[in-house]
Amino acid sequence: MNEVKVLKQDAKPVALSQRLTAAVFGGLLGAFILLGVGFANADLVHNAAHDSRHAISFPCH
Amino acid sequence: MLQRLLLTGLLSGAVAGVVLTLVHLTMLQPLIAEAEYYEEQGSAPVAGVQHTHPGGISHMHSGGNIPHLHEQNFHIHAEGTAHVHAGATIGHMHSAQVAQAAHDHGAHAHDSSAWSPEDGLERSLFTLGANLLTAIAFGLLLAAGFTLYGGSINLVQGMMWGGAGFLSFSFLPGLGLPAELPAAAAGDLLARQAWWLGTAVASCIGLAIIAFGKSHAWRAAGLLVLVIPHAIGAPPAEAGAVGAAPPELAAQYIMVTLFASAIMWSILGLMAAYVHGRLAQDQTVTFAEPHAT
Repeated sequence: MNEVKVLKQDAKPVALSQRLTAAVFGGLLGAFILLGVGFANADLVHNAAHDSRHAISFPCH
Repeated sequence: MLQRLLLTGLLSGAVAGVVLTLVHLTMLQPLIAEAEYYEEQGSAPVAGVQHTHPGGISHMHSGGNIPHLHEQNFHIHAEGTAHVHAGATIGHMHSAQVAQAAHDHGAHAHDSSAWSPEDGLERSLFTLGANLLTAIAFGLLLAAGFTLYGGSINLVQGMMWGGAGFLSFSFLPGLGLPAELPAAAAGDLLARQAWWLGTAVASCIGLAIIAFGKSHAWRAAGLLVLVIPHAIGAPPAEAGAVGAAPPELAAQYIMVTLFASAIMWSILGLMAAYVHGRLAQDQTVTFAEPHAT
């Protein structure tokens, strides 16, 4: 049986609008987590993530 | 599509976050602990000490071991706060406690009664959690970039994406706001956070324009976007303010944080490209010839 495998290529080209929707959702989720861990000013969040903030060089204090 | 993005971000972020934490606990945490030692030393008030500054100003105050500078009626404490005594000039006396009560340091006050993790395992676990979340957040942003790009990305290209992340989120913001040890002297917190985020976003956009721009004009525009935040300049600390930790420690800390970030972004780029590629293969069509035997 002859098979032609197409590797590392999407089965069908994905429309830009679909990629844009996914990218915006994923990007917003990433930004939301980043802001929560790195930038939220609440004392509890600050203290819990304190050493990480210093390590990632987010402005802290 | 979205599932592929989320999995790419989660898996690459999880691996990068664990490795970042290993680097953190072995190389960074000792420096943070040392800086905290100086922070506590600096703020522990002792009995009144009479002392003389190089400018010939002599005075006595109860926080005598707190390093500070005097310029006539103006002085700066080790933790980076500066203040002016309206009427006072030479030879005044005050206590650290009085000074603390009398002035507002604006940026923020640490409520010492607020919860914070216990030193040791608990603190390390919170660091692991925060590092994992941060790396996953970066992984999701990277995967969002892959998705926008649309094409396949090999491991070498993945490393280059990771390098762009390192430049955008570590190196370029660090040019204006290098990593701070605890008790470092620094400007207003909100202004610094805004500048840091603005620089990170501008750097992402600038690098993307340089990488994908079709003409020299576009690439030049990308370079301009990279430069703008630095032309504006990061919010500075108050003039003359110094941190509690020795500058040698602060310098080493900056190098090690850059190293840790570089490791994290390399792994993030590699892993994200790998996972992203694997998930594409899973969707591969297999063309079977209809008349095959």
